[in-house]
Amino acid sequence: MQYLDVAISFLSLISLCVFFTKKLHINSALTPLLAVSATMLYFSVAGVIDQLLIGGYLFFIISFALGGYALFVKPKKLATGDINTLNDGKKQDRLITPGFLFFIISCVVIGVYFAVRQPIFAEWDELSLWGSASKLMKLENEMYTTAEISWWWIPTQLPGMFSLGYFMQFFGEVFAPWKVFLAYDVLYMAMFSAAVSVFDFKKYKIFVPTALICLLIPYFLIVYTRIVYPSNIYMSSYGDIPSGMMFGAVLVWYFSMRTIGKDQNKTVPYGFFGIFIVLMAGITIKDNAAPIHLVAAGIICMDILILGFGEKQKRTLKNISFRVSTGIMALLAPILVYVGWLKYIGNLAALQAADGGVGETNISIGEAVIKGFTMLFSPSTRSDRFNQAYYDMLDAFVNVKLCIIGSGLIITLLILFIFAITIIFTKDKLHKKRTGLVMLLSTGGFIGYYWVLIISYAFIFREAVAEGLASYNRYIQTYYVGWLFIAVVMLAIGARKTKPACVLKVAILGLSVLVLLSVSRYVRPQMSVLAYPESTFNSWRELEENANEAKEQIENDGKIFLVSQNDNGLRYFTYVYEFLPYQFDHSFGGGRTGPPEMNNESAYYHYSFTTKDGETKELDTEGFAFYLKENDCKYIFIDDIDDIFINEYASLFTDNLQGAVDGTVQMYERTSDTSSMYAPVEVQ
Amino acid sequence: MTRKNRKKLLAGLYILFIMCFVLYNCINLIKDKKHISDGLLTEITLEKNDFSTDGIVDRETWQDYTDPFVSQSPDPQLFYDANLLVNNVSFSLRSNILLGDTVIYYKEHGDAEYSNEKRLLPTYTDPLNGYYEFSFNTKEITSLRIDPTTQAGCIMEITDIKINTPKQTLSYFTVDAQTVLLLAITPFILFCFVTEFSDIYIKKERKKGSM
Repeated sequence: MQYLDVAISFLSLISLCVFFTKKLHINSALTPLLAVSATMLYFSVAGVIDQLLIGGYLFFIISFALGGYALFVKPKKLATGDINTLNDGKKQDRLITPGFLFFIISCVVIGVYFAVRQPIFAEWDELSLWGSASKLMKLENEMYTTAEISWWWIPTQLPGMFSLGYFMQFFGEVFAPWKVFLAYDVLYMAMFSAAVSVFDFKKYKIFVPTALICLLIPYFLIVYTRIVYPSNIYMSSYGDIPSGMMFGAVLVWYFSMRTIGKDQNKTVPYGFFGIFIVLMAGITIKDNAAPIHLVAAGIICMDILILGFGEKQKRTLKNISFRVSTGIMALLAPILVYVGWLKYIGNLAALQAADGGVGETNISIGEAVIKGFTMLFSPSTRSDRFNQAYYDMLDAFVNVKLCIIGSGLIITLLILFIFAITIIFTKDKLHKKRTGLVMLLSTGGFIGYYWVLIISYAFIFREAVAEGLASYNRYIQTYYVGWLFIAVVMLAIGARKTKPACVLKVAILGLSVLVLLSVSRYVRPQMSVLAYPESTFNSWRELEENANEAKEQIENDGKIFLVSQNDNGLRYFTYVYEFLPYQFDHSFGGGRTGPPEMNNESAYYHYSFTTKDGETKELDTEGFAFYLKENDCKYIFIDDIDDIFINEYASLFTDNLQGAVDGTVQMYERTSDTSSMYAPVEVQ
Repeated sequence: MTRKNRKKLLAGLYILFIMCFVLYNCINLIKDKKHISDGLLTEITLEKNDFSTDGIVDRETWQDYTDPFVSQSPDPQLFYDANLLVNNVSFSLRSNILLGDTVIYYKEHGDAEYSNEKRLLPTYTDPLNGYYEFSFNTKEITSLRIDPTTQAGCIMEITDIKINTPKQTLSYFTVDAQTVLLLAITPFILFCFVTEFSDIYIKKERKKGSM
C-alpha cells in the first residue's frame, strides 16, 4: 500500500476529470484543477462534520463511479443543432489535450521521483503546523483542529491543503511526508494544466514556453540570491506559495474557460459554475492570504458584471439578473467558506492569542483598517509605529531585493508591462478589454493588499515583528507569484490567434528564455527538488530514528515529557511530530528545564510553572516531580541533558541518569502510578 | 517551411547544441591539459592563515571547530594575493547558520579594485556538508577574495582550501540535471523563435508568388 494508495488517489482524480470532460463537456485541461479543488472542499467538509473516514470511502466510490459512467455509458443522440450534439460533443469531449497530458505526465514523474527519494519535513513550520497537522489527520482520521496534540494553541489554519494531503494517502497504512509534497505538486500541476488549456497541439510554440514559465515562476520570484542551500518550493508543505499560485490559478481557470467558451460560440461556457468550486477551494489554503483570494473573486465578479456573457446576449431582465446574480455569487462564494470556517473554529473554542505567534488580538482587522485610514489622511494623528511601518513598507517596495530581477517595484513593472503589451498587441477585442480589467483591478488589489500588510505591521503584529518587517518577503511574494502567473497566461491567451512573429509570441518566447536562464543561473539543481543532496535530511532522519526506536518501548497510555536542554523549540516540534500518535506533554515548548537559581534570562529557560490550581511553583526537584505527576507524564524522553538537569533532577531517576549522561538518547518510564521515580527502558 | 523541414530543423538544433556542449568541454580539457603539462596549472593547498582578512576575528574553539572565526561585519573577507593560473577553487566552510551567499571575487592584471564583473558564484555546493566549489575556466589572476557570508556574528571555520584540484577527464563531460534541462529546452525555444520568423518570410514569399 506504500505506493498503491497514491495511485488510487491519483486515479480517482483522473476519474473525476474524465467525468467532467465527457459528461459536463469541460475542456479536459481545465478539469484537473476543478477535480483537485472539489476534492479539497469535499475532504474539508468531511473533516468539519467529523466524517473523514466514511466520507473518504464515499468519495472514492463516487469518483470511480462517475468516471466509469462517463467512460462506458454513451450519450444519447441529440437533435442536430443542439449544443450537445454528437458532433459538437466529440469536439468538447476530447480527453487528450496538451494541458491534460502535461498534468498526467508531470504528476507521474514527480510521484515516481518522490517515491524513490522519499523526502521528509525539515522546516520549522512544517513540524510545528503544516506537516504535523497532516500527520495528525492521517493517523487519527480526524480534523487536526480536534485531534489531540501537545501544542498550547488550537491550530486554526484553513483546511484545504491538509485535506489534500490526507486524500493523497487515504488508503496508506502509515503516514508519509512525501505524499503530502506530492499532493501539493498535483495542485500545482493542475494549475499549470489550466494555464495551457486554451491551446491545442498545433500551438506548441506557445504552450511549451508558457508551461515552462509557469513551472519556474515560483523559483523566479522567490529566489533572490544565488542559493547554496536547498530551496524546496516543490518539496514543501508550507501554504504560502500554493496560496499565491492559486490566486493566479483561479483567474487563469476562469479566463481560460471563458476564452474556450467564446471559441465555441457558447454564451455560458461549459463548466462555468465550476469557477465557484475553484474560488471556494482557493480561499481554504491559507488564512492570511484570504484577502488575495477576495481580489480574485472581485475581478471575476467585475468581469461578469461589466463584460457579461458575450455580445450576442440580449439585455433582457432574465439575462441581466443572471449576470448580476452570478457576479455576486462569485464574490460571495469564497467569503461564505471563510466565514463558515471562522464559525466552526469559534464553536470549537474561543480564539486564543497565540503565545508563540505573531499576532495580537487587542484590535480587530476592521478597527485596524479604520484606524489606518484615519492616520493615512491625517498625518498629525499618526503614531510612531504607524509611521515606521508605513515608510518601511514603502522603502521595502523600492529597495528590498525580492527576486532574481530585483525589488517589488521591478516585479510590478514587469507584470504591468506584460499586461500592457497584451492589451496593445492582441487582436481579440474582448481579450483586450479583459486584460485591461484584470490589469486595473489586480493593481488595485495589490495596493489594497499592501495596505493590509502596512496596517498589519502597524496595529496587528507584535512590535518586534513590525520593527524589522519580519516575513515581509513571504507575505508579499504570495501576491507576486499569482499576479505574474495570471499576467503570463493573459499574454499567452492573447498570443494564440496572432500572426507569426507577432510581438506577443516573441514576448512569451523571450520571457521563457529570461526565466529559464535566470533560474538556471541562480538555482543549482542540487539546491532544488531536481537533485537535492541526501544530506539535506540527515539530521532529521537521525531524530526520526531516535523517535522510532523509543516508540517501540512505549506500552502504556500517558504522556511523554521531553528533555532536550539545548533546544530552541525545534527539537520539541520535531519529536512531537515524530512520536505521533503518542502524545507528548507540553514540556514548556522545548528548551532548558532547571531550578530558578540557574536562570540565565533566556527565553528558553524554564524555572517555574503554574499548577492546575493556579499556583506558581518553582521547578526544583520537588516542583518538577509535581509537574510530571500533575500532567500524567508516564514517560520522560531524554534527548539531551546538561549539568543543570543532572544536578537538580538525577534523584528522580533510578539510575541517577547514568543511562543518559554519555549523550545516549534514553526513554524513562515511571516505576508505578503512585511513584515519582523513573526507570530507564531499553532504547538503543 | 514544411513539416518535414521543421522536424529536420529541430533535430539539427538538438544535435548542434549537444555538439557545442561536447566541443566546449573538449576545448577546456585540451587547454587544461596543456597548462598542466607546461607546469602552469599546479595544485595548491592553502590554510586560513595564508589569507589576510577583513571583518573577521578569530575565536576560541567552538563545538568541534578547531580554528573558528567570527564575522564582525556583514561583509567579511579573506584575501590571497599571488600571480596564478586558476582553474578551480574549492574549500570546506562550516558555520553555525546556513550561509546561502558565499562568493569569490578575483582580480586580473590591470585591475585596481574587485568588481561585480569578476565575481563567481559556486558551481557546486553542499553547504550541509560544508563544501563549495568555484570554476574559473582557467584564468590568470593576481588576487583572490573569499566572501564567506553576508551576516555579522556568524561563527565559521574554513578548511581544505584547494586551488586547481585536478579534474578527471570524464568529469569535463559530466551531464548534471541542469545541463540536461538546458539541453532539452533551449534548442526547442530557439526552434520556436526560428520558425516564428521563418513563417513571416514564407508568407511574404507566397504573396509574391501569387502576385
